[in-house]
Amino acid sequence: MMRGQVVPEEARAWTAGLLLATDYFAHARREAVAKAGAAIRGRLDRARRVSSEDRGTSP
Amino acid sequence: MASTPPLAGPGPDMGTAGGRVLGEPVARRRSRLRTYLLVEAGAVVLGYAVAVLREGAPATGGGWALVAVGAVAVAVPMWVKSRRELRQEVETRSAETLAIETDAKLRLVVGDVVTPIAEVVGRVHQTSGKAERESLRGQLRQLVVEAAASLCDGERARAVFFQLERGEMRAAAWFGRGDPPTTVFTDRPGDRRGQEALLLVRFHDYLLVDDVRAEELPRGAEPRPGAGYRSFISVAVFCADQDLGMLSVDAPEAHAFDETDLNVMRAMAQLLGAGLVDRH
Repeated sequence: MMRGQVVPEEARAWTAGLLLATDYFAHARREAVAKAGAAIRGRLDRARRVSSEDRGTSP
Repeated sequence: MASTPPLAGPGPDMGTAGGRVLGEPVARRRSRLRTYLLVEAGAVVLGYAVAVLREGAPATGGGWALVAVGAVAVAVPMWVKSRRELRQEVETRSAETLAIETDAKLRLVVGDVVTPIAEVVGRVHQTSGKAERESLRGQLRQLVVEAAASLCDGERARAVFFQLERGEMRAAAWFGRGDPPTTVFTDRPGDRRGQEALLLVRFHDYLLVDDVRAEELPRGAEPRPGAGYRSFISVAVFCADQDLGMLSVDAPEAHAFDETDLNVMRAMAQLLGAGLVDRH
């Protein structure tokens, strides 16, 4: 389950002018790369597991 | 191609902001394959040495030559195999890195930029006071140029919004390297660049130029003398029948932008148009 704010606090701080764009984007970039890395590696691991299971069940 | 070039801020390009969306390299995981290959090679060497020495070391030069030939025969296929595996691993990593960069950019554009800016656009139209609305619009202009410069792939990108008022376009917001832009695009007979820029807005066009020095550009699309950029994207900002201005991003490097950046700019321009449009 995932639950969170549609517009997070950092984004609100940026749009309200309370956070510099350079700081906001540096943070957002780091977060995006970290989350994307986890997501892509997760997808690759799942794909590898599925393909090895398929090999195991093939005649 | 449609029309005109963007910014013409004077002075040198003193890089300040902008930058690649994914400038920081994706962290490299330590390769375990090299360790496996070294262990495998060690085991083979040990096995070969045991097999050779089991019956004593060769006594003659011919015996040693035979041992050397056998060692080469074992080592060559191992070397070929390890080279192939390492190359495959590098290719897999490159594909993984590209996939991560693409996914991260999508997250940035949709989650970190479009979502909060759309919320500001909503607030512009929800607010009743004229002064507050104008303040929010100023904020929106600034957010859009910050997002455009930060999202587009130029190493030292600069984004400018030229607002259209009374037939002329002046910089209303900018972000990135260099000095504030001073260009005013007009419809005067001698201002060919201005005419082309205004036509781009009137026809609701965009223009992406990979290299202003290499490409044959239409008249009026060439950069001003001494301009500090090699590539740029200019996009008309409009909403329905209201023409509002031009959003541009440029970079001192050639080929700094691709079609993804163009699509980001189109989305930013439309968000800006939605926020700046007046109710009839």
